[in-house]
Amino acid sequence: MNKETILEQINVIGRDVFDDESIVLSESTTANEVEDWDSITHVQLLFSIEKQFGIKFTSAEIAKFKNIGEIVACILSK
Amino acid sequence: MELDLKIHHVGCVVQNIEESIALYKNSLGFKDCSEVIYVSSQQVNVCFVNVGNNTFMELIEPLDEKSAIAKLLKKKHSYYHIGYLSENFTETLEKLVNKGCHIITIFNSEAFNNKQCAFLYTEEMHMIEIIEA
Repeated sequence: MNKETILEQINVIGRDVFDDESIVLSESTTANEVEDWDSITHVQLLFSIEKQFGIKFTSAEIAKFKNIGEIVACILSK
Repeated sequence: MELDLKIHHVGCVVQNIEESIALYKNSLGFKDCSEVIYVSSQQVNVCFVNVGNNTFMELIEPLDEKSAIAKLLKKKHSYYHIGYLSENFTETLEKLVNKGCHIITIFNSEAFNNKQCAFLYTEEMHMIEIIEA
């Protein structure tokens, strides 16, 4: 699976979690740029990504995520 | 890997806490209600309604309309978490994380004499609160 495919799937998840069909998440997108990205939807997003890709993020990994690109990179590394 | 969780409350987000307290007292007959307590870190007012056997309904009124809790209200959520007391707060959190839970936030709550509380999501995305007993 390549970076583009992962980003595409994260966008599908993001539209569902943030309840916004128009949302476009890029590698540089941060939580501050998405209106409904808060402490609760953050965990919902990560759980949904874990389920979609069949992976688990560690607490250390979660603490380091600064943007979508870092999540994508972490998925690729697993 | 046993956990020492004792149920304390069900958390319910409400638009107006005084109106909700009146409803629980007058319509449902639960007269044993705490004072309204301001929880600064969460920017909410809360009230505990004893609904039997020292199990409570926690009424939560968001004060910041941009907060995550206020957004739950906008999405028409009402009951959204179950609170459990734990005698071994830190150890319990570690065990829950090892079981696949994700921590949303850890804070000290005026509602529990400034003891530590944590919100987590279980793998089923059920929100729980662990309260230092």
